[in-house]
Amino acid sequence: MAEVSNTLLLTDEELAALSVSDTVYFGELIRRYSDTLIRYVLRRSHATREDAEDIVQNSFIKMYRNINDFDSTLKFSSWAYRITHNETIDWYRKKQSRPQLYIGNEDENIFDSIASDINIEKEIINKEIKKEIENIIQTLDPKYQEIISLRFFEDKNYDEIADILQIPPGTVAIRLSRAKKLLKEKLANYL
Amino acid sequence: MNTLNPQDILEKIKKDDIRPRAKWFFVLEHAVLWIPGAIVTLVGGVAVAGMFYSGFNSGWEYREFTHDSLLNFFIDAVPFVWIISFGLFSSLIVRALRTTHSGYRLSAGRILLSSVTASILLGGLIYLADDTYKADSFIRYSVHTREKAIWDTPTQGRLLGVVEKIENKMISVKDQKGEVWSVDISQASTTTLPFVKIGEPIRIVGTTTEDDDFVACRVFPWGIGGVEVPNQKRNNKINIMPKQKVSTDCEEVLKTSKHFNRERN
Repeated sequence: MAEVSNTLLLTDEELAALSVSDTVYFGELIRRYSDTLIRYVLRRSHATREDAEDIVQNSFIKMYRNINDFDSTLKFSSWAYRITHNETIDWYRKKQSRPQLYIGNEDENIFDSIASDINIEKEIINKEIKKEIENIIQTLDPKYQEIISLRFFEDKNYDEIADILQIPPGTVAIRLSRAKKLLKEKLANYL
Repeated sequence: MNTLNPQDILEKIKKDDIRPRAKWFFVLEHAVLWIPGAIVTLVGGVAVAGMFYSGFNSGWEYREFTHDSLLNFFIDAVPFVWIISFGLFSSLIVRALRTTHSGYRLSAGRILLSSVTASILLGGLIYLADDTYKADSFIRYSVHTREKAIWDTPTQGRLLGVVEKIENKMISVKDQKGEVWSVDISQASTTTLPFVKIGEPIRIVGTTTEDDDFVACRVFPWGIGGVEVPNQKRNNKINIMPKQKVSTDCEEVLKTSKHFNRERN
């Protein structure tokens, strides 16, 4: 069995490759990603913390079962996000509801990033505008919400988003551009 | 702080005896996912072969006897069925490839371009390789159905049938409906007469007479790569195609026909 201390120096992709022979390596991947993925699930849903943990636990089990299918040309994080994303969608289907982006208190600084991306001066982003941004995002089509979530909240680049959502990078760019345009148009009334 | 204990998940994996699926399972799964793409490309290739066949065998050689304008000929000759089927199959390939391991990364344009290129190459190969027209008989169905319809119009100066009897300058030709025509070939171009053989299907340009007979000014073989003579080599076609324009004599025969002139006008 591998020593835990040895695993710290390994990359995610190396850990994924070694997980087939020893679950200790997979344990390190769980340690690295569980919090990030739980936060992602909580943002993408109104799931309780307990539900989010269940979704992520199921995602890790799926990852382990399909670890031989992991494409080493991808980043492990993209693959982990993809599986968790699909698991979250399945959870929604079971609940017969539609996904909605939830912005928590810890995401406050995200508004500056969104504002800068849609050419709005940070100085005029007050509490009221932040609330409005949140409301507008929640009215957007889920396909735009998931792009916004991955780009601004998870800080993923276009290629990573493409790998997570399994769509061409060009489609990511188009959707993000449309989402920002919609956001800016709807925000125009409040600026 | 980790709220999800990695050890708990590992214990669950152990307790439920969850094991990674074997690599071969995924190799097989991905191979299966490529099958629709391969089928679509293959069908696309057949469609392209059909387009080639239709394009090259639309009766360019007989255009002056079958259509009164080049535009009408093109409208008739464009293989819409194959173009539409090719379009349909090409769009299906986008869906098929998107399901593959990394197919989602490719844009629809790139997938379509690759598919179209592959299908055109494959279609060209099918068309060229199938020298005796055996494999693509179903492709030719629409082309020949159209050709048969065009040539089964005696009152418009076109007759299609099988030679039953040859007597001096008169021949008997049984058309597709089983009607036997007496055809005067005395005015027919001598270069086209070698095709008149008992039992052979021929197409005749000429005119009907008052007695419901037919006066020929040109005789051509029917089975140019056609279903009637499946072993006809494609190369033969080049040698038997009429290259020269309608002779003055033939034009005279056509002009004297009130039926032919009426239909053409």
